This record gives sequence, structure tokens and C-alpha cells, in this order.
Amino acid sequence: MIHEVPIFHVDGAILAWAIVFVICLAVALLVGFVASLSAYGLGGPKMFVRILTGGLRDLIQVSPRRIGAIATLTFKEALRRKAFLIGLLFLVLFMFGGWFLSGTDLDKPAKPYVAFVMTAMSFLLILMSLLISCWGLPADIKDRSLHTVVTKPVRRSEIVIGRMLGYSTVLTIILVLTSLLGYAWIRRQVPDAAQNQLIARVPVYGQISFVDRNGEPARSGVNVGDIWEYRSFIEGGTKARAFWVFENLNVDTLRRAGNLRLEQSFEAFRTYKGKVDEEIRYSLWLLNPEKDLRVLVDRYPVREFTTDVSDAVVEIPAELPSSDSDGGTVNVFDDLMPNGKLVVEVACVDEQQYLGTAQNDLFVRMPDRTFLGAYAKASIGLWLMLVLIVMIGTTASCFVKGPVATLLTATAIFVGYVFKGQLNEMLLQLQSKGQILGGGTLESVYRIFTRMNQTTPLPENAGTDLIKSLDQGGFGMLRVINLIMPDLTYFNTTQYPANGFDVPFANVLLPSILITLGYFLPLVILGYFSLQLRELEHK
Amino acid sequence: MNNLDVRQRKMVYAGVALLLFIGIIALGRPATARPEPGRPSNGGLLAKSRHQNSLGEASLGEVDPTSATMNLVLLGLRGVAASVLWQQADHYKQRKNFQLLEETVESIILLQPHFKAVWEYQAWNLAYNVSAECDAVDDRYHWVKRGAKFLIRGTEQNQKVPELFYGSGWFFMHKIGRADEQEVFREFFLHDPDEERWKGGPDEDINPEHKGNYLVAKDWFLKANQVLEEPGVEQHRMDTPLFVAYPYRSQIEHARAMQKDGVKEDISRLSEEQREETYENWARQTRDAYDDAYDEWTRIYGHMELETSGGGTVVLETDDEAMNTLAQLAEEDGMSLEDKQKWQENYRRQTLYTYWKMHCDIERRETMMRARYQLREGRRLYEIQEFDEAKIFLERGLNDLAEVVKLYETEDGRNLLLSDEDETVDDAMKAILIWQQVLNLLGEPIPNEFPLRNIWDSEEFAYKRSEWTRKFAEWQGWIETNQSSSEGNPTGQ
Repeated sequence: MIHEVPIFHVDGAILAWAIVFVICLAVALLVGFVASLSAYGLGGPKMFVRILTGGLRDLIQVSPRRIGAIATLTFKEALRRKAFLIGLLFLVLFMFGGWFLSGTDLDKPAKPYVAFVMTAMSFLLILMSLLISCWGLPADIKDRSLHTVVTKPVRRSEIVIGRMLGYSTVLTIILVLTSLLGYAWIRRQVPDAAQNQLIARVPVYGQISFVDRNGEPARSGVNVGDIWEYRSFIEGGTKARAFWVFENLNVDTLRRAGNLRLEQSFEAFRTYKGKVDEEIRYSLWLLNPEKDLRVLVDRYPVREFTTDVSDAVVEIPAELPSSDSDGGTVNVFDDLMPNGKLVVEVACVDEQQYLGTAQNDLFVRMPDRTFLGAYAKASIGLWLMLVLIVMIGTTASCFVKGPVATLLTATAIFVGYVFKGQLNEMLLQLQSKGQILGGGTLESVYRIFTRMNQTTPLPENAGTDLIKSLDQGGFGMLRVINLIMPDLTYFNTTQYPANGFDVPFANVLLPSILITLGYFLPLVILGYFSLQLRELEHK
Repeated sequence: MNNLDVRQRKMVYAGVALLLFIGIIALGRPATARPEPGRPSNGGLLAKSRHQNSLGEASLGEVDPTSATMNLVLLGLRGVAASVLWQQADHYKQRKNFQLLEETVESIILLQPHFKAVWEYQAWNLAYNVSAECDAVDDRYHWVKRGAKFLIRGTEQNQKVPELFYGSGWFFMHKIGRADEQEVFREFFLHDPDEERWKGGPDEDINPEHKGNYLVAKDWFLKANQVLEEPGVEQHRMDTPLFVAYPYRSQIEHARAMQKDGVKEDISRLSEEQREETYENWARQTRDAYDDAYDEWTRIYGHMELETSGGGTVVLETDDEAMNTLAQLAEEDGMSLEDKQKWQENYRRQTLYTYWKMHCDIERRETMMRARYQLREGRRLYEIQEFDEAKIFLERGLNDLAEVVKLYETEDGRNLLLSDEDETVDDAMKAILIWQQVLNLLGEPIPNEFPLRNIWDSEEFAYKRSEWTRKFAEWQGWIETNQSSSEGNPTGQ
């Protein structure tokens, strides 16, 4: 189940990008200007302007033909260095992948197989993109093959772009091959009983709201003491309800499908054992507040944590019996979905038992798409990440040697992919509470040595004041890192095909495309100037 | 070294390398073939030591090539990787992502295939914690099976760890037989809910011989005992006399379950003769199961030479043959027979030896079986309002039960059955309540004297009388039922 679909505001993102770009540009110009002054004295500004205007020309007047030639060379070089052997490694991994997943296990759902393929592909190809992009240019500089290139009438911006393009092409080919291999492996390995889980559901999520046991609006349901506070619970046999409002539904598409499908992943919580062989049930109503219509669809067992997706689906026919005693019917699409808006009410049927609900626990399931499509989109997400890593790696290799460039790019991946969630959480804490639980680096060290837990306030003295101030500097650094480093969490598309969902374009693919494009220009500028100013003889 | 020229330095390096090489060969040379039992390994020092202490992969259980490869690939980072995976497994459990939890656990066992705690902890996690999260009873059973299958795989890879065999037995005895869902689980154990795959039979991965859960548990406990008998194998779960009792306890539990289940057929559709025959079959099979249980408990377990913690070796039975063995053991251990008998008595108490022996002895009696049949039939007839017939059966049953109770009276006025057999006292209370109600409904007075009146009037069991009277009233709808009570029906049906 997808618990959180990332939110991406295109306008805000573009604005933030522009601001950060301008600030970075200003800082770079200032640093460049000061450096030119210190290196060339009074002649520095002249040199500064010359390099800047030359750079501007080099960046604008790029020739696609020359870029293509460099890219071709890069491709050939990668071929010579046996970069495609990674495909062989992948093949070996798949041959033995069944062992990892105990292939004879007929009870196993499809999810681990899909997750295995996507994770293996990400792991191997990220590693490969890191290595080929970070070691190419430094190796060329070291064995002086780059000298023959730079002496030709080719701009250094074209070398940077050509390198990026060449490496991306290599990775694209490998990704396509491994994706195809992976798809065939999934189809072959997933047990027959779980083949129906290889789907691409298209969910439309709504907005949840709650009503408490007295029928009064509430901010949330009841907390039953679950460590994971994702769901809140509504009490059975009372007026407690959860409501979902779905907006902008494509009623025509649903009408063509002939029914309305809702899918749920509720949780049950029992306060007493009850009948062990009977599940907790929930009831489902559809509402139209404008017409004052409230139609009971039916009562259903929760089917908690079911691996069979079809168990959790509520199929609502186009015509429902009206709640009035006149025996009439209500048309779901005409009477209950005005302007594509649908309101769903859910209650727990069993007294003194609870139903756990969260916003994404109920969604309208639009007609399914193919698993192949979702898998391809997930691969595109991975491809965009690889391209971004290549761009970062190539740029890094323009100003530092191979090992350092690798370390730098690996750090960018780690921060953007692994640490970004924690980083966001910390900065959010800092913004909302003014402090981070346990403090910054120095405060944490202080707490470890004094064996003080995270929540105990620090003693008030000059030493701790100093620690806090120094930590504020660290937080400032974190803010800068957060602004500069790419957020690679958008690119992690594995969970969608693994859970049988389509990859949403607006929330996942579009952000990935924009982030990749957003980094292209700054990285090319940085790479160009680094290569331009680099002393190539200095290996 | 600085005074040496390049050639000389190279020679020195080569010499050092050669020395180290010889050392490595002496230490780490692998055995070229698996040595025959009793013969020393032909490998280096480490290989020999591995062989002597049975630490080689092959001597621990089935070798998993993936696991060995994984460990090789990770070099020295196996511990780090396992720790990260444990954290991940916990995260998935918290997030209720049970499929990925299971996958992560699989990865952990690839890294640590011979770490018994991984098998035990994670199997328990699946069978007890994850299954309890599911609301549908067949989903719960699915996870119990996953846990059990996981532990069975653990036994295959660790053939010298008796705790894992014991753990498998415990799942089938305790999780299937004692859970809140025991009735459904025991039924599923014989007829899996996945009918499409198992064609109405049991899941053959856990129950290949289509037996009851307690008998499958017994097999696993027996395997645990067999493993424990192998040289150099130890168990650290509990005192050994308790550990080795489990196969025989399972047999007793099997008999108890048969008795508690009663007749499973829908007898309302049967003629009186068929009903009689069905009841007789059930009574005979139950008595046979108890006979086996008594026999195994006294003849096998009672005569087993058990290592105590401080008193040497003892046997638990007290017949002539066992007492002779005990005298011999006292002599071997250099103890007086009196001291040995004290240890024997300690362990008889600790293992509840006398209690289970007496329990089996009571339940395998013809009269007791008859009493149980009569009382069950009496209750059934009461439920279908055949009060005259019910009265006859209940009175016969109470008389038979009284007869058995009398057999266990001691000279000092105590009754061993009543002091130890709580469930029998409960059964007597329930039967008397129903019988009294039958008399009320028939308009007959309750006579002054009736069988088991001593139990009914006893101060010792006054709390039971009032408790069962209240439950009976609830069952009859005379007072409001307490919803949280699991014992709404005093007949236990």
C-alpha cells in the first residue's frame, strides 16, 4: 500500500529554483571576482570579464554536431572499458535471484519479486553511473587523451555536455536491456496465484475528515495506542464516522466502466475478542449533500492486510436502491457525483470495536492500466535519476580527481536519496518548534558524554549557550545543503509497481523531469568553468 | 632495510611472504574431502578444529549456497548488514508491511543461518505477532503457518539445535492448540482454508501425514529429544527433565483434546443406534489415546534416565523396576538411596509427574468414559428439550462420575481427584446444574441425596458453585450476559 504520495507544487518549485540559482550565481561571481583580484591584482577584473564573456559565448554557441561527436567518443570509450559487463552481472543476479526469494514458495505475493528487480536495478546502475561518470574525465586527463580533444576546435562546454550525453546513452541502453530482462524474470518467477497482483491501479485519493462518537466534527479519530500513528480509529456502533471527499473525478470514464470501484486498506482493532471467526465489518454510504441524499452501499468485512487486492475492492453498480421506502433507485454517477465530486461515509458496524482509517486508506480506483506501463514508468524514474547522477558525476570530475569526484557524487546521492527524508524532518522540526529533538551535533555529543536523554533540557550556562549557538551554524549548513542537493526521493518509483499501482505523472514523474532539467544548466555552467580554469597538465 | 638495494629488498619480501604462506597453509588449509566419522580431518589447524567441534557448515545442517556466497561477498561486514536488516525488519513490522518483513527476515537468515535466535525470534514474530494483527481468522492461520514453516526450515539448516525442533513442536501444540482461535486453527490444521491448493486436506508442508496438531507436535518434540541425545549437543531452554517430557505431554494433550472436542458429527441427524455407535467410537478412541498417553508417560518417560541439576541422574517412576534403576544410579553417582529419592521426588513435583499420571489413569477408565458420554448426551437432550431422557442420562453420568471420584479417596479423608482435577470438578458442577434445572422443568423436587452432593455442598468448591450458577443463569438468559466473557455457555459447547 502506498502510504504517502509525494506532493509537488510546480510553481513553487520553479520559483525556488530560480531564487537558489540566482543566489548561487551571485556567490560564484563574487568568489570569481575576488579570486581574480587576488591572483592577478589590478589586472584581475579585466581577466574576470574576459573569462566571463568567453564563457557566456561558449555556453550559448554550442554545436550539436560537436556534442554528438564527443558523446559518440564517450560511448565508444565506455564500450572499450567493458561498461556493458554490468548487464552480465545483472543476468547472474537474476539467475540466482530465485534463491534469495525462495522461488518454490507458492504463497509468496508478487510484491517482493518486483521490489527485488527494481532494487537490484537501482543498486547496480546507480553504482555504475557513479563510477563511469566520475572516472572518465580524470582518466582522460591523466593519460592525456583529453589534450588531443581540447586542441581541436571544440568548446569545453561541449565536452561537458557531450560527456553527459555519452554516459547517459550508455546507461540508457543498459537500463533498457536490464528492464526487459527484469520484466521477463518477474513474469516468469511470480507464482501463478500472485500473477493477478501484477496490475497498475490508478487511484484518486480524497480528503479525509472525522466525526466523533457524538456526531460532532473531530480533527481525528481515536488513538488506540498503535506506535505507528498513521491511522486513527473510529468507534463501532456509535455516530463516529470517517468521510472522504473526492474532487475532480472523471465521471465519464467511470460511467463507461459501468461501475464505481472503491478500494480500502482499513485496519481493525478489537477491544474484546468477540467471535474469532467473524471479521470486524464496516458500512459504506455515498452522500450528496446538495440533494440531501445518503445511500447505504452495503456492509463489508475489513479484510485487513489482505494480499489479494480483489478482496479489498468495493464495486458499486451504477444503480443503487434508494434509502427511501419508495423502492426507487439512485444513479451513482448522476445523483451522487455532482461535478465529479464524491463524498463517502464509512462507519464501523461492530459495537465497541474500532476501524482504523487514514487518508490513503480509501481511494476511487479508476480503470486499471497495464503492469508493463507502470513498470516502464518506474524505469523512466530510475533513468532520470541515473541521468542526474551522470550530470553530477561528470561535473564533479571536471574540477577534482576520480576518487574525490566519486566521493562527492556518492555523498550527493546519499544525502538526496537516503538522508533527504530525515533532513526534511529535522528542518521541519526546526521550523515548527525552533529546535531539533536532541539538538545538533555538539549538543548530541554533550548529551552522549553526560548520559542525558534527548528530552531533558540542557542546563543553563555559558557552555551550553555556546554549544547551541555553534549548532545553529550547523543547522544553517543543513539548510544550504537542503536547498542545493537534489531531492532524489521523487525518483524512487519502486513502491508503485511493487504494490500494483501506476506511477503518478504529476506527483512523481513530473518532479523527476523538472529536477533533472533544473540541475542541467547549473551543472553545465559549473563543469564548463571548472574545466576551463583547470590546469590540465596538473594531473 | 634502507641500506639494502632493490634486489635485496625483493628477496627479503619474498622470504617474508614465503614464511607467511607456510603459516597460512598450516592454519587454514581446507580439508580436501569430508573425513569419515572417527577419523581426523586432513585439513589445516582451523579445519581440524572445525571438524572436532562440529562447526563446519556441512556438519551443522543443510548448506545453503546462497548464504555462503552472501557471507563471502560481504567480507567482514556481515554483522553490520545483519544489524541493518534487523532494524529494517522492525520498521516493516511497525509499518505493518508484513510481506517485506518476511523478505527482510529471509535476508537475515541468509547472513546468519546458524544463529538460532534469528530463527526462533523471527518465527515467533510471524506466528504470534504478525498473525495477531490480522482480523480474518484464515489470515491469522496463514501467518501462523508462515512462522511454523520458517522454523522448520531453521531445523533443516541447524540439525544440531534441539531448541528449534522443540520450537516447531511448541507452535503446533501451543499456537494451534491453545490460541483463542484454537477450535478454528485445529480444524484448519486438518482442512486448510486454501481448499483450491490443498483439496480440502491439510497444508502438507506442515502436516504431511494428515495428523492432529498435537500428534505433529509430538513428532517434533521426539525429534528434539533425538537431537539432544547426539554427542556434544545441549539445549539451554529449560531443565532437561522438563524438555524431554514434551512428546509425552503432547500425547496427553491429544487425548484431552479428543475428549474435549466430543463427537464432531452432527448427531441430530443420526438414529438412536447410530448415535450410540458414534458415541461408543469416540469413547473408545479417546480411551485408547489416554491409554497410549498413560503408557508413554509411565513406561517411557517414567523410566527415562534424566540428568538433574545437582542430584545426578534419576528416574521418575516408582515401580520395582524403576526403583532398582534408581538404586543403581545412586551407587553410580556415589549418593545414598535416600538422597536420590529426595531428588526423584523433587523432579516428580517439578514435572507434575504424579498429576499427569493420575489424570491419564482417571480418564482411561471405562467408567469415566461412560460418565463423559452420559453427561454429554444428557446436555444435548436438555438442549433439545427432551427432559425425561436428559434426566436419565444425566443421573447415570453423575453416578458413574461419583464412582470414579470415590476410587481416589485416601485414608486421611482427602480425595486426590478432586484436589487435582479442576476440570472434572467443573464438569460435575455443570452437570448438577443442568440436572437440577431438568428436575425443575419436570416439576420434580430435588432429592436430598444425589450423586456428587459432596462436591456441590463442599465449602472448598463454593466459589465454583456460585460462578457456574451465574454462568448458567447467563446462558439461560435469566441475567444479562457479560460480553467480554468467553464462557457464555456453561455447557462448554
